[in-house]
Amino acid sequence: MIGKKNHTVGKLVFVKAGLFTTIQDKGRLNLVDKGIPLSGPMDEEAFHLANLLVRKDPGAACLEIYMGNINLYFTESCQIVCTGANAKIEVDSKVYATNEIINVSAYSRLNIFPFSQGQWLYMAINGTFTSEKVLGSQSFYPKITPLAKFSDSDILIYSSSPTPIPSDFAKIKTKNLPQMIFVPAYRGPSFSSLNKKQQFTLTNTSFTLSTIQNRMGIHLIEKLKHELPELISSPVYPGTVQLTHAGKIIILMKDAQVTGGYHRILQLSARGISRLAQLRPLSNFKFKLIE
Amino acid sequence: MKYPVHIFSQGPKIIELNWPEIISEDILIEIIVLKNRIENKWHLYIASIYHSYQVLSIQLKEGAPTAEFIVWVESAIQQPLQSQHLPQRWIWTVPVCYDPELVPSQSKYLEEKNMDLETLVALHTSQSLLLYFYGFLPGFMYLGGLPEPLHIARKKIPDRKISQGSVAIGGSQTGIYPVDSPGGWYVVGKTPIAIFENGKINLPFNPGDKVQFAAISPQRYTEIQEGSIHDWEKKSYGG
Repeated sequence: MIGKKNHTVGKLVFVKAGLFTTIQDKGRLNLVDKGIPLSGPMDEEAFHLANLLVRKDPGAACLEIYMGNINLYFTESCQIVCTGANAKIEVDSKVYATNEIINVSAYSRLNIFPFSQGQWLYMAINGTFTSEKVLGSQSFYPKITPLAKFSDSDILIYSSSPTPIPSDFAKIKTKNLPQMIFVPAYRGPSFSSLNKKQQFTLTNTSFTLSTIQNRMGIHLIEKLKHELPELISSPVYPGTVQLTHAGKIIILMKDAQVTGGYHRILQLSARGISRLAQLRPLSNFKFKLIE
Repeated sequence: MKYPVHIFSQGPKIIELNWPEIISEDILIEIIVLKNRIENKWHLYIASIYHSYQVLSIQLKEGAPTAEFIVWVESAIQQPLQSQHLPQRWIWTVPVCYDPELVPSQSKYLEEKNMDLETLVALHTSQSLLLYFYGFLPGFMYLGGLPEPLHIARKKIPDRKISQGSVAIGGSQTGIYPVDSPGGWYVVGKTPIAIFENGKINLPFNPGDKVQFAAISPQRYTEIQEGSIHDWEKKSYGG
């Protein structure tokens, strides 16, 4: 007879919740036809990796943490892993890196320092973060879920799996960001309406992320002057590169609205969205056309 | 299909069907019929399917047979419209209170238009409006058919907050704000029906249906707001 081991239910307490900490799962794909934004992780690749490392379904709910500077504790011991941005994670004055399983004992203080590279970090748990599912998803979204983000002293209920993950498996190396980032993209519907020079500028010159960015979208600094006519609204997606009438370039991210009236000049691939999400304001990158 | 339809792919997973850039009920009907045919046949491979005025967007799941799908769609758009794929359509009554005490900001619209309240209410409830699609905000309806005398240029400086339930007019469009949002439209009324409540979405209307605004008293507004589940009034619509 094998006794059935039970999950332990505990509380995660945010002492310092940081600038923008939310729960993200795979989002609300089934409700885009009602105008509900998709949501989901800004860096999907890092999110999948986090779940993979704790042997969870790739779309399971994780904490998404922006820029770090977080302090929290768990009331029951558990195992976690952090992926995405490069960060130093300290538990009881022992320092860990991303991509490694961390055993956290009850009431130990967990510090995530300001990130050294990247912007978004995912914390997955060997267990489950059990926040309310609204319209089929745990992803936070203002006005849809009770919380838009976590604040200091907020509490999140979790259950910890009774089956520990052994820590002796091969470690996945934390990667450094290269000097020049290429963001892969497909041609958007309005790409062919741009003239050859505009197309060349878009796909061969370097662009800069502005400070105007959030989970809905990222504005670029460089403008692309054009004389395209105005349009009626069409569907837009995370990764749609919009060109406004005034020539401003806006790249839509996970919380973007589902339709928009601007020209759609490029569409980032899933990898392109993940890459762009980790770039900080004033970073440079080039779009790389996927043929 | 009566109109020429072009297929445009953005990578292997986003496929769009483009009708001419016109806002018309005919095109909407063709889109709805084709959308239903596609859903019937390909639902296992579809991650999401939705549309705007003249673009039908299909996002395929990982591992979907994209090439086979496109070949099927190419042939489907050549075939005449099959009305058995057109769902039952409805005209839904949406109660709106136009009382100036409940909606004080309405005066800005009336002043700008030099219109009296009776005329506003009579025109705004004079005909049912066609639901083209949802977008802009969660649950926001793009409605067509607002009478021309009600059109008004959008505010140059958008208001910081238009509250949930506001019925507003901007340009040639009118709609309900399902959630609080900044916006450049003029608020003319309020609906007591909560579109988002307790984690549920209360939007029985589908694209192709129509919405008929009906004026209600402040007393009725409060009754509906305090009531539990709203009993929607609807009648069938033949197009």
